[in-house]
Amino acid sequence: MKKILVAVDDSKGSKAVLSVFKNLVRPPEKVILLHVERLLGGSLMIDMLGEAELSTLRESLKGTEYKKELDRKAEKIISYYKKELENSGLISVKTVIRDGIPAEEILKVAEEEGVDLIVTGFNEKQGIHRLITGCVSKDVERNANVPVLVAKDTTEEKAYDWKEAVANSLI
Amino acid sequence: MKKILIAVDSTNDSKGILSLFRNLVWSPERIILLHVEQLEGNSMMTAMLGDAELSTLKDALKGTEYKEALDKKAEKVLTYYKKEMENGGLTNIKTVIREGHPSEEILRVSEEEGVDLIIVGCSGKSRMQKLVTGCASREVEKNAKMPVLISKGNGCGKHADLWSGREAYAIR
Repeated sequence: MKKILVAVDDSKGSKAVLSVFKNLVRPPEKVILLHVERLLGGSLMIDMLGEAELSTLRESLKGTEYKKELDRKAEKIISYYKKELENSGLISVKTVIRDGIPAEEILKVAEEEGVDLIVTGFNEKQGIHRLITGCVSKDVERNANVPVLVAKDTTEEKAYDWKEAVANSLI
Repeated sequence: MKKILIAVDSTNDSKGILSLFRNLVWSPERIILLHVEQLEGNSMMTAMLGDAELSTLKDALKGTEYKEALDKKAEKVLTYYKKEMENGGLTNIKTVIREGHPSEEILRVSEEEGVDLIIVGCSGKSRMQKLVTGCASREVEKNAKMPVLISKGNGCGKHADLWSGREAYAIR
């Protein structure tokens, strides 16, 4: 095993990535730890932008408070996961921060680095929310050339059941 | 790593799965090899059937030549994989044949057996085919409680777009 690309964000689903490393995969020679900054937050807009528009957006955001906030957040996430991975015995961790469309950047980095496996977390987004903001792991899975491991948090409690909540509130 | 469920469909991407064990994941103590017979072939129909209708369909098909052909195929696929894996040094393999909705059966078996990881192949279907026939790996990924590994065999990834997919299908 040579190289693994690990894509993380600040969601809970991402944490499952760590348990995957503990239990499932053989220790790789090199880990590429990637976080992609979503320039427009969780909105659908970003997925509809072309390359040109995206680079305009990047230009206009450069140096703004918003971008700095994103950078800080990215730094925090990346350093957290780097530490966790190193604690579990992986030495060669390279961190990469990109901005743009998450699925595309993940695929791009995977090709540039020539990785053998992509590991992503699974986001518990459901229904409408999933429809609107898209699901990164889905896009990656569909378009990647290499195997994709979708990590799941097995200890996770049940997702919020709004039907039950409504039923409870009626009592 | 205790148990892995591997869902196999055809013999196409065995190489992909075997190389996974060589390179990526720890060899498990136990492997469950699962093949799900699609009673209605590659049509959308089975996905729309409820449990009751499905069991009627199962009854109706019992003993027919069609079912026998399905059984034969299942048997062939499973023995092929079992042999390949045993050649690759993996032992303790249990084979399971189910019939019905692939994704549902995969999830059901994974829970019954309490596996730690599900490995599904990527069928390499084009978008159009996927729309019509559904994609087991997608459903499994969405609903499974354990990690899911999507292996990429030959011709997978970088999916052919709609038209070239169709052409490839026609040529075959």
